[in-house]
Amino acid sequence: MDLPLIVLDVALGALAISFLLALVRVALGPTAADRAAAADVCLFALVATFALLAIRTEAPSLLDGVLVVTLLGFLATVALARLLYRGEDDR
Amino acid sequence: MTVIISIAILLGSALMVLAAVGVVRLPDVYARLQAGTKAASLGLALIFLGTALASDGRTGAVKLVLAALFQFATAPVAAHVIGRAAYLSGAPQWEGTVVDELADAFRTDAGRADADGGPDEGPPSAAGRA
Repeated sequence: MDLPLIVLDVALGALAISFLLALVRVALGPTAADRAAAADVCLFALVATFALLAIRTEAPSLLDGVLVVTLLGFLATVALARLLYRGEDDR
Repeated sequence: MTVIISIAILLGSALMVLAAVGVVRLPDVYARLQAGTKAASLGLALIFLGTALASDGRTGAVKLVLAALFQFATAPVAAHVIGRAAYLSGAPQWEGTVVDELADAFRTDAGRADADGGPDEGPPSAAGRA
C-alpha cells in the first residue's frame, strides 16, 4: 500500500474534530432530538475512523466492526426516535 | 489510483467536519438534521469508497461497499424519523421558518376550515393534539 500516511493522519484528525464538534451539540442541545441527531453524526465519525484505522494499521478485522456499527446505528437511531415520541403515530 | 483514494478520503473527512460544524451552528433541530444527515452521508460514503479502493483483500472492499450502500439507504429514514419525533414532541422552530407543511396537514386533517390560514402557528404540542 503506497498510500501516503499523512493523508490518513489528516483525515483521522479531521474526523476527531468533527466527533468533538458533534459532541458539543450533544452536550448543549436544547431538545432531545438535537442530541439524537448529533449523536448520529458522532456515530458516523466513529465508523469512518474505524474504516480509516483498518487501512492505517492494516487490521482488516476492523471492517467487520464498520459493518456491524453501521447496521446497529440505524436501529439505535430509530429506537431513540420512538423513545422521543411514542404516541398515536398513525401518519 | 493513490490520487483518487487520497482525494476521496480527504474530501470525505472534510465533509464530515462540515456536517459537524453545521450541527453545532445551525439554528434549530430541523436544520441541524439536514446538515448532519446529508453531509455526513456523502462524507461517509466517500471515505468508505476510498478505503475500499485502498484495502488489499477483496472481502474488505465488499464489506465497505455494503456499508456505504446501507448507509445511503438508512440515513434518510433515520433523519426522517428523528425529525418527525422532534416535530410531534413540539421542538421549537427557528423564527425565520417560512413553510410548515406539516402544520397545514394537521390542521386540514383536524377538520378546520382555515387550512390555509398562514404559517403563524407553531408545531402542535403532543398534549394539545391528543
